[in-house]
Amino acid sequence: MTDTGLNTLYLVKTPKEEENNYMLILTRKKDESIILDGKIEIKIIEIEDGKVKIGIDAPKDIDIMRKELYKKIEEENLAAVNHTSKLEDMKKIFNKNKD
Amino acid sequence: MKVKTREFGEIEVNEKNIIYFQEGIPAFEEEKQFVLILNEDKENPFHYLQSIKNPDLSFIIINPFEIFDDYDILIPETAKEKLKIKREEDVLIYTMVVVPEDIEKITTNLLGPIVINGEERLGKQVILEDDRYRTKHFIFSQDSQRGGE
Repeated sequence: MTDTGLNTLYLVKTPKEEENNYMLILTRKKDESIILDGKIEIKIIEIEDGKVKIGIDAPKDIDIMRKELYKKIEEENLAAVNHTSKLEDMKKIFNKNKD
Repeated sequence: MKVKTREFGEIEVNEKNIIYFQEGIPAFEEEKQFVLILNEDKENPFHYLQSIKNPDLSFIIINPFEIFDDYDILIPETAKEKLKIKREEDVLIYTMVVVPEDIEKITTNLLGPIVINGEERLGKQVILEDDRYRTKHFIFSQDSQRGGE
């Protein structure tokens, strides 16, 4: 890539188009940052072997999590939706296992 | 107010007991209001978390501390802030239960506990960064409480 000193920046529509979201794609180099909403700073700390180490500096009320973890919790919650009342059976097994 | 539930039909819920989940819960982000339906049978550890809006949406929950002796969590600052937690004694913690066909293989999600500030009636599913816990821990298996994943 030729270094023009300029950062690439373009907008792409995301699947969440109906919610008026856009995906911003831009290029950053090591030690460069982006600022979200004036209060969240995302800094590129290290780039190596196809991995990027990112530092996020955000206010305390901002939840930050890896997407795959969020997905996993979503899946588990979908599986946890209660379909039939089995509390009595569950109690029986609970007590059986306790003894 | 009257709340429709699939398990119990129409029930009377004091509006003061409605717990507000500001962000919903993952996969159910639009569901903001729930009520705890606690099992009065002291011998039965299973309770319900029922959606106010959707009669068909409920979860079976447990108090994980009753079942997992060594369970301990550190509530992240973000959650403390959002739930306006001031005092430890206001905090209620439950974990969701998945009941598979083979009921002996019930699991609970110790990685994503439901944290409630009982005083403020605010709730949130907190996702822990704690590698001791998984989304599936067997409740009944004594030799290994860790689930399949």
